[in-house]
Amino acid sequence: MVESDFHDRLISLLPSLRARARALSRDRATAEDLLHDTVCSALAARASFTPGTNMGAWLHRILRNRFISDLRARRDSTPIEDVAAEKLAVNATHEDRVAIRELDRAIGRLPVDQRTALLMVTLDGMSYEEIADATGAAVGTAKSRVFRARRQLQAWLMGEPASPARNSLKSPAAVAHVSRNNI
Amino acid sequence: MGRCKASSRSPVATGEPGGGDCADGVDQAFDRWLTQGLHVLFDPVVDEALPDDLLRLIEADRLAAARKG
Repeated sequence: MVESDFHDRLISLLPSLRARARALSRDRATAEDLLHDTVCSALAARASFTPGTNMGAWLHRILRNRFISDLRARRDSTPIEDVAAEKLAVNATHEDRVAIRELDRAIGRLPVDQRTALLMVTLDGMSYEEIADATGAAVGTAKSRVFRARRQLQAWLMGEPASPARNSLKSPAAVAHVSRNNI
Repeated sequence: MGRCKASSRSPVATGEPGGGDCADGVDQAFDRWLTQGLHVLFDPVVDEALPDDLLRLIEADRLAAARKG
């Protein structure tokens, strides 16, 4: 990869990386720090990037590793205060807003590896192979993490069987949403 | 559950290892809602302006790399 290609690709991937940083850290200021640290690490490690391989997965791996190392230094996490507030306010019903905020809180309770895998497959459209590459896990492990993340969220928000604590977090708003759309 | 739509349950869409037979339509409905909810939460971040200091950092590195040849 020509040097300028590397930098152009890095810039083009910044929005996705930033969204991932926000989703992982769930706090704007922390996410900006995480993004900055990730870019610094990527620039410093440029020589280790293999041209022709998946740069998005490479960057996500750096971001995830930074996030996990930061977690060890400070405890997770504060709720998203402003990520989609405007959009929710304009387009959503009260029930929608309640359900999404409950989802936000539940996302923050997932184990980091499950949260990361779920966001990669859902928001970035990454394949299980790409997730495995980015997280250093086996493909089967990546699949399992996504599956368990979905079912854990379902258990928390809907009270589906899978969690002994399901009823304590059951979300009437989420239940109403899913029931309404389960044709 | 009578509302189950087994044929539309994709392992890729649901993340379920093997996909398999349909547990129930609620899982599918929840997965659709979850995907939609995550996009509502995080898609707006993608449209935010990138920080100038970060772009300057990358451009400086690009120049430094070019000087090294």
